[in-house]
Amino acid sequence: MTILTDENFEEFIAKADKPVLLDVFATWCPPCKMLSPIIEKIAEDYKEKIIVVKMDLDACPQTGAKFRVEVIPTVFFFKNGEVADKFVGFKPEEEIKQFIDNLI
Amino acid sequence: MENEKIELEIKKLLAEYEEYAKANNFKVNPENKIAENIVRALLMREELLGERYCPCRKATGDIEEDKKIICPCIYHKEEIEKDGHCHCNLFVK
Repeated sequence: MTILTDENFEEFIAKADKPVLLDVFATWCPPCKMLSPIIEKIAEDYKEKIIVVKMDLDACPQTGAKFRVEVIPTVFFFKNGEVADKFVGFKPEEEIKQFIDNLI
Repeated sequence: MENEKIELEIKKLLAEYEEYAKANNFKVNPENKIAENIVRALLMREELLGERYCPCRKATGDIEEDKKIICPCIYHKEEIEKDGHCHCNLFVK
């Protein structure tokens, strides 16, 4: 799975040929660790429809500040380069799939 | 030996949070693994940053501002009331 950085973030989102689901996490955050395998499964299940990427908040202070990420995990859904929606905190697989299905 | 010390600290802090939760009419997450992992992360943040900052919120580096996210943070009661659990899932209704 692609890990975005402050350096490649804007170009990646702008050039993506599908909607992008971005999981913003931190290595010290237990709910982020719980969410991670679900996000990975979703990346596989939705690989024809969306691109799933991750971003380590500590490693990306500029992008984190730009999108005002203060709570983690925060998951963004980008469509045509813009944030279409987001959610914060751990959610079970089915809820995340519903979140995506409503936005595709 | 070091591991035993950490496990003891986790148990001690969990007991403190259980007492706090009981006094406020909610409880520590009954899923032990979740509660333990959060308490472990709190202790790690205390060691690294000096306070038990919520492991689900970014510390700004501003000591006054970050007081808001020392566990139990200023948001937890409202979150428990609204969502049935605090953002981190340490406390549940």
